Amino acid sequence: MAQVRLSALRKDFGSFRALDGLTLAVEDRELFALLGPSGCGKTTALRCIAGLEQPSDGDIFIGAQSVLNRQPYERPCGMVFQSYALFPHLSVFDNVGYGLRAHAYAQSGPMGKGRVLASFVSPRLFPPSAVMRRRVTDALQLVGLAGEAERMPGQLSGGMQQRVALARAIVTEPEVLLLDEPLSNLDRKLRVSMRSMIRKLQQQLHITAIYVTHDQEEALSLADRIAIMDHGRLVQLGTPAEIYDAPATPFVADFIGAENLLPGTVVRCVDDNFVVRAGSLEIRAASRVTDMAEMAGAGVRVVVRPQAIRLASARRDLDLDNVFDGTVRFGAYLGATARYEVEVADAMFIVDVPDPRPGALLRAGDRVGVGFAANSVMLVSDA
Amino acid sequence: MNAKPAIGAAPAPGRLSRFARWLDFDNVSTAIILLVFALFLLVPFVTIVIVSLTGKPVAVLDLFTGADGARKLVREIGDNASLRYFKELFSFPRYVKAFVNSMTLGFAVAITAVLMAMPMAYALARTRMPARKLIGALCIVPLMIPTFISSFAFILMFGRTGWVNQIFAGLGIEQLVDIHSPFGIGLVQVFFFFPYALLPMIAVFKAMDPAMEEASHLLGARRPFAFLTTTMPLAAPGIWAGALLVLIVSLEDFGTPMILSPRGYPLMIVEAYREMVGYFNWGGAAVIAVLLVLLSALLLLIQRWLLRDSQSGTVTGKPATRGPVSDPWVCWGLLAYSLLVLALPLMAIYTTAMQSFATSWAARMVPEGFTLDNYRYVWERSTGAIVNSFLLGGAALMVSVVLATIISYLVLRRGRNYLDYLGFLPLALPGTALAIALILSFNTPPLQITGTAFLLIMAYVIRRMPYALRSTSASIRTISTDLVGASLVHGASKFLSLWSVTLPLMLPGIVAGGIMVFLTSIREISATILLAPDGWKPMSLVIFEGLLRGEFYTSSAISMILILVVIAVQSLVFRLIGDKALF
Repeated sequence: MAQVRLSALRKDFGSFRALDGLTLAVEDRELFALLGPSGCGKTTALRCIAGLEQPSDGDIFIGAQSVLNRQPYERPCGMVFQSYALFPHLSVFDNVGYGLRAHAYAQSGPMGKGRVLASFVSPRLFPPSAVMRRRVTDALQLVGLAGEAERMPGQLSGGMQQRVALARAIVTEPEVLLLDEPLSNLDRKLRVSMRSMIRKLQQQLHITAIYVTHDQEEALSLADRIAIMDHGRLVQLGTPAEIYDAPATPFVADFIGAENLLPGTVVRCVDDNFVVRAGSLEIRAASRVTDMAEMAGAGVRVVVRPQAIRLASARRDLDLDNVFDGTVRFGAYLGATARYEVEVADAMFIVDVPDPRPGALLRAGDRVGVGFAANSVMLVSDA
Repeated sequence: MNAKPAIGAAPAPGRLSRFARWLDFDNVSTAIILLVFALFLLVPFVTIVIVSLTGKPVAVLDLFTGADGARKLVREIGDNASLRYFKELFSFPRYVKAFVNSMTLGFAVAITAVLMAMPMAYALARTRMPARKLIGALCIVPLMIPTFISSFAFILMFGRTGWVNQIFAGLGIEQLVDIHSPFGIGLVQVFFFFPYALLPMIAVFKAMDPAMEEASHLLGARRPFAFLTTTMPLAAPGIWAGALLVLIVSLEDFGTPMILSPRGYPLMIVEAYREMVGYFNWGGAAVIAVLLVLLSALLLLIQRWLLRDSQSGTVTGKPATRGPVSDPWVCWGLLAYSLLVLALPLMAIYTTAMQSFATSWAARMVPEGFTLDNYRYVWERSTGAIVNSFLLGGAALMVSVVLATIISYLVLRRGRNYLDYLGFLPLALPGTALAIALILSFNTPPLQITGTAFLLIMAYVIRRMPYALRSTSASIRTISTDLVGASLVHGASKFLSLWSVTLPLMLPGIVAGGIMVFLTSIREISATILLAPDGWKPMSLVIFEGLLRGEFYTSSAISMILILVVIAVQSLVFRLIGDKALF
């Protein structure tokens, strides 16, 4: 059982507070994402768990035990660094086998220790044991690098280096796998395939994984649960669906990729819907809360996702709860979608139209009807 | 609740246990390093300052032998201290002249060297000159030849019966240059020290964005005008720094003036040596040594200040990637010029080589006959000197490497920045001044080690450690902290991490730095001549004494051995780390 628990974790770098009372629990065998903008403390939290930073206050538990007084090499963690941090002077085989050698060193007597030290000087004269050879080969197989053991890291592509780093982190079968923005240096196509590889590995090995990223798409597609952090604090914790559908604060809504975020006030309730005044617009929003009366007069952010908005040549062509007249101000063809900025009264909406036909693209200045359903509108409390 | 385990809980606080806890690797090694430098850098400096005031030998170390010793020291200083020696020195026309001569010569050499190096720097940094790599490599050669060897070669070339001189005599020019003159010293120094100005200049020319020059070019400026108005002002700090370096090296150069020894032309460095060895005038030697140290320190500080920006790598931004000049007239012109500049140093090596194989040689381009007798003689008589060179240089290498590795670790990974000054202060010590200071400091008990090989080795270590430090620091800087983190997270203890990751990655830097110390030590003469005990004479000293005694042929043979060792080992360093190790 390797549950990871952070309790009121605080970390100061001089006068800068990187972690400000972070408390959360990662369940056993869960893939848990720490998501937030750069500087939010997510990497610091990960480094504290690994033991590479000593927290200023608070406690860290892996399983039932506090690991605060344990050195990094005494904690049951494997880690993949953003920079890969492959040892440039060791072959792929020796990189992956590094943890096994290190554990052999820790567990053996003086003779064995000497042997391990000598094996770093000359791997040829002091060859790895059969067990080590098999475990390294297995790990390389898992990441699809079976034939590359003898190459040096410098000869590998970025994606391959990433997989070596992954193999090195899992070869000792750690209880916790820590991943620090592991895919941020890869190109987009490779990122998507690596994502599924990490997910499969984590499930196959029944391992607890903590995954730090600033890419909301990565977190949403990969994680069992996501913790969103800002300024060293936990802002929201939940499953990807919970976070996407019900962002707890404007910050989360913004961060999770809501381009259309209008400040407004709840003016009244009609049936199951709120009516919100945002600037000169009145917008109907389906309720997700039970106690509607209390919401009247509250300051909210209106969130409408770009892909939830429909465009038509005139507003009468749209049969939706919210319809307005708008003017296209800017258009960009993105292949799978076309993205428009549409001005509606004093607000600007970003609209994604799927499968655009190149001949039917709108141009700046075109007048259009703009509409969206009440149940596609989210209200995020300002408080 | 939540009682934490008492691992490493402090025992009852007491003086002893507090001391025991202080005794970790960082603190102990810092203490040892500071002790070494206090003993061999600070104490000698304090000693020569005191001797320059009292004119008598003092044992500063008496301070630490107890109250009696301290009292004796204070009494001695109190009784004898005066500015007499300084006054005397400046009322002696010979010494005033020496100061003026040294400065005039230094400035003249620096300015000439900079002007001479500038077109080459431009050619190497910013043009498609043919054979750039070869020219660049050849430019390092002058730095590898000790000046007493090159000066002697110049005598063989330009002396009365010198072969170059004879060629010109055939053309009707009697005595092209008088090599035994201030001009002769300047000539040797310019042609063998110009790379000190060249390399910083190449660096600034490379770091500058040629787009700026191009911009002014597009605005209608012609190439030469664009160069003068945009490139030159931006390159000014690098050029000044190079000039100052040449000035310092010229002030410290002992070999050239000793070998060429022009009459009636005293120089500070020679006078300091004469006071010490010729007249046993300790006060006088100490005064000149103090002046030399202060002068070098001042120049070095100015040089550092000029380079303060380029040190952090921000001359004007990104390195030049475009726009090298490829005009064939310019390129071939610059190539011809570069070959002309390099001709003299290469001719000097040719001359030394010829002389070493010659039965006798005068007045012609090639010797009268060739023989291996000179080498046989060296083999029979001077193998000891070769061994000594390797032993002394090797010992200096070992000590420097250990100190440098630990210092760069403490500075870069433990934030003990003050130790970084140790890699820079010794550069302000002319070898002659350091040797005089060491002799005066350790001539008396409690630590009487003057005349031992150990003191000579420590002189090498103190003066040359900066080379090793620069190299080890550079290599530790390239090791990202993530690598160490990765080894710790994957189960390596701190020691295992050091052994398996940090040290192997530092190794090229350590080796290169050590070799630089070795090379500069085996061609050193100014401290060696004062400190080397009889049984421990290295090659450099044997050559030097041989030349002074007139044993030209055998001295040339040892010189060739020394030159070959230096060039062979130096090319090994370039293999390892490129030309970064030079400055």
